[in-house]
Amino acid sequence: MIVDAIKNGIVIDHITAGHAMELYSILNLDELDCTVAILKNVPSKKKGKKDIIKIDTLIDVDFDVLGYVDPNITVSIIKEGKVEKKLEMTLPETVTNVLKCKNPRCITSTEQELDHVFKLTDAKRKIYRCIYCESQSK
Amino acid sequence: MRHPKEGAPLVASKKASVPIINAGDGGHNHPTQTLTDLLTIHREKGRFNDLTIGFCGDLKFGRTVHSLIEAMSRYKNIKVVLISPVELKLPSYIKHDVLKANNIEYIQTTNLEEVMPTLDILYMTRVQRERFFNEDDYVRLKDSYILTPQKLLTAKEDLCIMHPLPRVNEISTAIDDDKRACYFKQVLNGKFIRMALILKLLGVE
Repeated sequence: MIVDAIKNGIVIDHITAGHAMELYSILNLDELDCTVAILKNVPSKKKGKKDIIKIDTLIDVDFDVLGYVDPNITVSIIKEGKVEKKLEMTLPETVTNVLKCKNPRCITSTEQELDHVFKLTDAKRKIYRCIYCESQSK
Repeated sequence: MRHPKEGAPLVASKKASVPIINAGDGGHNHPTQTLTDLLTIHREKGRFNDLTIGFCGDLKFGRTVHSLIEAMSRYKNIKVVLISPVELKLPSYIKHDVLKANNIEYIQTTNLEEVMPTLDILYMTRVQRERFFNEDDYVRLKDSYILTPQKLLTAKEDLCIMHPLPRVNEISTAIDDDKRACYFKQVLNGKFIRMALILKLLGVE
């Protein structure tokens, strides 16, 4: 299968196979007018298979979200047909409004304007806790 | 600030122009009570190291328990005995992030009498109605542990019995005159600690 190379845009590569649609939704890519290609189950030397998303325009991507969803992802910024930057993701220290606190006793359950902020407390086990009530993300 | 919602003092501290003291937020934390508890332990036992501390009652929602366990995990040779009904066990994140992370020896049991002889400190808590969404669960669990003179027969002579108060019925009033009952001294220590904290935050020497 051939998908055209992009001139100015972003390639999100090495997505764990099957997770591209999750990222598409979290990054609100459905709101874009440009071409967005989602490639599923692409053969990969490292991972066997992987997903790739190609976005045919330069947009601000929330790297914290990408790192949280899948820290193995790489992001290439393409300008004038060339890779200008290649970024490797890591687990972010905090994520804002990506996870929602489910604890009914948490202040975020009643104060609607509050951001839902989660902090990484255990990188090995990928555990994030609400900064307000310390409940673990679910 | 005392607040039923967890994290409310943190939210307030981000907006307020004066220092905010968390005086208890939901079932989360209760740091001024912990300072009170530490002062009581120091006054009664003269040390923070080499202690076996039993926590009894509602360990799930008991915010004073969570805060004190975290504070005591800084000291050496601390053993923690967790005594509660199965439904009110200490949250696993505290076991993992505090006890295991600091190599604190701990056991969990439902039987207070069995562990009584080992304890240097017995920290009693009440089962609080407001922590339950279901009245039936509250009624079923509220009388799980009631400390009586009979249960203290095997306890150490220098056991220190603590309770953040108010008490409902989990400590029999027959124990109030026992020299091991420290909870009224603990209340007085609470007054001193809060006075000291307010003075410190106001910058009064």
